[in-house]
Amino acid sequence: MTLTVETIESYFEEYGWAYELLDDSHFLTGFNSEVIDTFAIYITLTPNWVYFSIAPFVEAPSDPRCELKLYSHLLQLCQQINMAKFSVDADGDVILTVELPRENLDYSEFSDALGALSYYADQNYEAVHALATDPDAVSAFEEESDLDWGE
Amino acid sequence: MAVTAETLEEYFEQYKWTYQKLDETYFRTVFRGDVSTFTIQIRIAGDWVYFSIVPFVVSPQDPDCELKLYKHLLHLNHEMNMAKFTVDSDGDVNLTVELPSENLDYSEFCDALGALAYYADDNYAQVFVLAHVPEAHPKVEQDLDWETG
Repeated sequence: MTLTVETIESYFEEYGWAYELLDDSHFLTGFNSEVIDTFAIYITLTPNWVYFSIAPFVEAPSDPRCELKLYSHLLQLCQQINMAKFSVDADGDVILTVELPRENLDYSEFSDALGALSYYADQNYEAVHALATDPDAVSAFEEESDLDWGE
Repeated sequence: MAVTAETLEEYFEQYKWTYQKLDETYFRTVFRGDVSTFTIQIRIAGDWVYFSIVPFVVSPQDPDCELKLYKHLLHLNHEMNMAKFTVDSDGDVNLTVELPSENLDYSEFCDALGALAYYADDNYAQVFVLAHVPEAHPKVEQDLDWETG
């Protein structure tokens, strides 16, 4: 059975988070973070998929020197995280997303999606923001590779 | 109930793809696309099942390729459903679908293999060129944003 707006509303009630129904296919919610005041989460219903997104997670880097280290870091994070992924939209903003099939989406999946987004947002925001804004910032992945033994 | 090796074997039989069982948690299968032949690894690891093409494209040797390649992969991640491109510790590009191992059913198994096959075939040529040809440029997307003159 395809998920309806009313079902998402009932999931929100059960999850205990405040939300706003923006239109027939968009919800807005958010959570207070340990690293910034609030992360806004958009939930978008399309015919076959439901997207849970923090958009933007971090705005596009204004200094081109930041881009390579930032993008490399995001793709290596994608290798490590489950359920979620980082991407870059047409404006160059960094997006953090969980996407799930709309068919038969149950409360447990809804809860897992919000949980994963919250966890990965909190855990990665400071490093991703630093890499997007400070050309001298160093990715944890670069530090790891520096530990390789060399003559 | 978490999916087992026996269940994955049943799914492969039903899907009619040949496969190799390397151990109780690790399978390999191959498909021939329009542009290349791809090996898919399927690994059961705790709460997750990973369907991966590893490497999808090996690490770029020329640093000039990296920025264009990585930006392109992150744009693709924005457009794709179910799958994602990643970069591993060797710098290789991987294409992955990950699904919870709990109650993984045949329909999800089919969707995972279908998504990997579709995105691999659709994107391989351009990702390979961006990774290894410094002069290559991603397909230019039409800018539909209206701007005042």
